[in-house]
Amino acid sequence: MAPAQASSKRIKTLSISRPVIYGNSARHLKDGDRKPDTPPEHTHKWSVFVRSPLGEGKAGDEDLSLYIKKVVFKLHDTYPNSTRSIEVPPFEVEETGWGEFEIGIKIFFHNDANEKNISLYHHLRLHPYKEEDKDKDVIKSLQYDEIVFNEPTELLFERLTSKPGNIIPEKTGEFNKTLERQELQRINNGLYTINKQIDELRKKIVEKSQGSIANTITR
Amino acid sequence: MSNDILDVLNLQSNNQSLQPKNKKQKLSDNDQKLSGINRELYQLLGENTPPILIKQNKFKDKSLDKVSPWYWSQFNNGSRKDGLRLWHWNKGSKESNANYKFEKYNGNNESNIPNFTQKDYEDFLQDDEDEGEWSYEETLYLFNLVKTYELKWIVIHDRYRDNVRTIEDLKQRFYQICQRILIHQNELNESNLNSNLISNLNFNKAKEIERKEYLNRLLARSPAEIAEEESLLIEAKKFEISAKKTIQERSQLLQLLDTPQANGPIQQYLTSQGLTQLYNSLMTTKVKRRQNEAVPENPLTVLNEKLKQDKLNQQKVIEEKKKPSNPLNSLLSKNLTIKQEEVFGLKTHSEKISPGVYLRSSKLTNFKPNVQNKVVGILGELNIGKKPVMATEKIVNKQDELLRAINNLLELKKQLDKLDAETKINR
Repeated sequence: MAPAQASSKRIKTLSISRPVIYGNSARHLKDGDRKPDTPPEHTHKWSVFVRSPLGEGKAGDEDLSLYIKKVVFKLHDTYPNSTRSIEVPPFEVEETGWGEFEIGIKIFFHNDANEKNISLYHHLRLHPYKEEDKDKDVIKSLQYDEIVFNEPTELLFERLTSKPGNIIPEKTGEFNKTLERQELQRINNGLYTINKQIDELRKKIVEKSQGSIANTITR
Repeated sequence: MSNDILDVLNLQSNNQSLQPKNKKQKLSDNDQKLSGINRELYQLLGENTPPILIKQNKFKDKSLDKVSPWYWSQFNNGSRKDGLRLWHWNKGSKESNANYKFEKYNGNNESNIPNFTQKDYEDFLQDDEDEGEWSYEETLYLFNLVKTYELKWIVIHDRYRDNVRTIEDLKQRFYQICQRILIHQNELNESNLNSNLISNLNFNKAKEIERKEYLNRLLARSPAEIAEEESLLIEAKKFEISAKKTIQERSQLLQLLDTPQANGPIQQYLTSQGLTQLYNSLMTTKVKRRQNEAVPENPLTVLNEKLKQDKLNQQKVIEEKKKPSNPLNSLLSKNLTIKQEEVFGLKTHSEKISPGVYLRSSKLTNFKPNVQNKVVGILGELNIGKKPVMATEKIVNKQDELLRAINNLLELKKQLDKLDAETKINR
């Protein structure tokens, strides 16, 4: 008899999360990049991807394939076979084109995770929008997010805990702890301003409404 | 039959012993007149009076056997001085020479209008300040006109010579003089006879003019103005109703402001599943409490139960020890430090959570489109993006807190605007 193995039973009151990055990078087509079948109107070479913030290359890919079975990219209908299913890391589609459009990204999980797929959308970006991006050769549009498994199956749990996968780097990479702290600080500042405004408004309302109630009573 | 019903309902019929005979007669009376369903209904009622009249009286044609007599007769006409005799039909009596019965409505107020002499006028009627420049002659002329035309002011004013004075002038003069005469009479007789009348004779000229102007204005309104006025009236009514409502809402709001705000995330209760979970957990705690209150515990049974439980626990521990080591169990049973938990992205929740996978950023609160636009606007002012750059757990939680605070702020602003509008209206 096999030792009591992890099953597809769900572990109650526990959640486990994994960070992902999705987005695209793009650069101008150079003469050397053109292939015989590249349409002449195409001006950019771009790639859309889902990857791990833990590091590019093998380490990150392995990390993702722990729980991701495949990623399906839905490109613009004008592309030949516009639905691209990538089943092995890196989960990435390289294409050439001239226009920006919305790319649908569906992430499928391994069967033993017993989870539905999740959909996200990414707006393909080819052109620099910010001043500081103007001179850059490669344009990047990235989004950080976390995939949270609420009450994961024991199988998935076992796999995900086989190696650490949630710690994002302190300073390196596109997304890191320093950036997180900065954003947190920004939101905190905003929250402080809003709360101050709320307190002021509340005071005003209490004053006014008491005034008006008194008014209506005397009337 | 009604008695049967009373028996069924265990009611004592109280009238029976008191006036059995009378009732019987009444009933038999009804029996004779009513038939079919009406009779049954009456019997169900028993001694109670029916709520509506079931029996309808038939209309009976009254034959007039006697015609009242009318006679052709003469009458005296008091308002004629020439003694002309006129005839008329008179009901009931043959009497001639009777006075005309509507004679009393003839208007001759001459006797009610006071007279005065020039001496009277000089003694006590003359104005001290010579107001309106009334002379004795003109006052007398006015009084004569009043007598002739029986206080019909429009006519008096029409006939008034020169026509310089307004109706109000004439009225004021007349009533003033009347009042003075009465006061003088009272002084002479040392009585208070006509005090009521005297106060009634106060004529307020300014007020009268104002009243007439107002009526003129009312008459001069155009149909559009009338329509506007009506619509305004309806609006006013609406305001009254909504004012009541808002006062109520306001007091509720004040209550809300007083109560502490929930800080914990309510996300999990927003789905119907989460709601039922919450409901169930609340219910069970309630039931448990009730049971605890209801049944006092028997110390002996409690002890027994405890012993049993201990045994069971021991067995479990033994069983668990027997189990082959499972990496999962070992990991779970280990008390992970916070650092370790972070390494794996683990989090244990104190409450039940709905299973399934989701994106961290998708748990941000969403508002109705128009609210969402305003929220995004405020976020822009704060220099914060609509979507967090890094949707880590900490950031998403903070951002959601911020979003809810902004929503709160918008809600309060709305209330304040409403209040302002109201106070404007109330003024």
